[in-house]
Amino acid sequence: MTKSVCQEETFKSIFSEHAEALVNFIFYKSGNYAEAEDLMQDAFSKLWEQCRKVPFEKAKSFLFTVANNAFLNVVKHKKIVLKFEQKGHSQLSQVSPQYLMEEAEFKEKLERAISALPDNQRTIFLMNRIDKMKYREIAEKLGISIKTVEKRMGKTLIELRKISKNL
Amino acid sequence: MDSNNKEILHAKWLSGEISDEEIISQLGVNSLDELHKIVNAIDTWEMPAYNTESGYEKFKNKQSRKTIPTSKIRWIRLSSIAASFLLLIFAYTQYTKKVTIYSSYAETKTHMFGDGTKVMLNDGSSITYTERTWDNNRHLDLVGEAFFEVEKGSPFIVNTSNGTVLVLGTKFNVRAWDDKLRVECYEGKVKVQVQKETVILQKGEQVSAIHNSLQAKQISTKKRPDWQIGQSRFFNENLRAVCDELERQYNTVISLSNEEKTFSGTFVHDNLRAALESVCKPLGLSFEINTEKNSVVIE
Repeated sequence: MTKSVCQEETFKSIFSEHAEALVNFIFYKSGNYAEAEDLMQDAFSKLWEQCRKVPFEKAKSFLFTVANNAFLNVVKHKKIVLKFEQKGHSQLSQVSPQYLMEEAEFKEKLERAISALPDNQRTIFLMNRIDKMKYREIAEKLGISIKTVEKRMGKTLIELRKISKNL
Repeated sequence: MDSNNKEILHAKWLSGEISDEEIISQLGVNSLDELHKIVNAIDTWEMPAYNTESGYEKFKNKQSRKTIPTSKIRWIRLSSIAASFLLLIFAYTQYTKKVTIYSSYAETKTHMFGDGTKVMLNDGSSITYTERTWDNNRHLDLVGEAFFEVEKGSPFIVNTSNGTVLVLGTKFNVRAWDDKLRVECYEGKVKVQVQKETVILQKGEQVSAIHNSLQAKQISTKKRPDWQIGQSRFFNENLRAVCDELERQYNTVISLSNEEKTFSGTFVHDNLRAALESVCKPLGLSFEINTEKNSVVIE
């Protein structure tokens, strides 16, 4: 018997697997984490309502599409500034204050540059770099081709290089 | 290199499909340094870990205002079970559905069954039977009085609170008011059962049972029951029972000061004054009809 989204066990496993990625996905677009969580919850509610119509294999792309549509419909588009936490880098405890300052400055520049990117470029780039998703995974979730993902990734990287040159 | 190829080159280096050496040969060593600097910086960034356990609880709580997942599935299961039960009950009640035919006071009614059997109900009487099984199971319950013309077929059974009448194909009258039963056979044969006593009536015979005990058979030359020719006939009948019959035939209320008397004779069904006279005169009683109150006083 194929897995049915209507089975609670299956549904819960889908939630466990994709909830975080969905929240992050919406956060990369909106810059508002609480709102991103709400839209994620709404997307799962939709999936639950439609559980009979959505085959198990299509569940994740269903979730990302629903969340994206909700974001486009609900969230007023405004300029966002994304800020990210840095993983601790204790191995660099000996670095000079000068270096730390430069590093912080560079981070802020990158954050601003990334925030200024078109939504679809920024989202894909961060899904790859932060959520560690492979291009194929991103393509599956968003229902686009791997070629499109590659193009947007490359374009983003080239634009970010221009920023680093100005430093 | 056109921009498209340049994009793909960057993307494939980022995904590890193209080596650092390839980048150096295509874009120069400075480009590689730039790319490393950017990617190394960004790759230290992280998002807060999402707590999927509490997130799922939150989801379920939200859904419970609609329906929580488990209960939804259970609900569907439960409701389908309930629906099948309801369907069974519905089918069963349809199958065993009983039909009751009444004739109200001051009205006689004729009912024809599917097999051609005819029942004529005297005033205020009723029969109840199961419509669906009628052809194989000709049982009916009688309250009051009825005349039957039974087509030949499966045994025809009339249940009354005072006894049971079993027939094959015949014409007979059953009168079952209060605690009395009277059966008159006009054609064929009728078997009358009261408690454990039984009697078989032939054409022109009649029998009564009072307080669940069968009386001796009597001979009658009547062609049809009295009520069928617009009369009621009594033999040594308690006056209250006679008045009950008058009440049924004329849909009126009769108050009686002396209930000790008994009456033998007939009264007609189409003239209240004449009927009352034929009952009261032989007993030396007088009566008064109040048309406004639709009642009669007999003294």
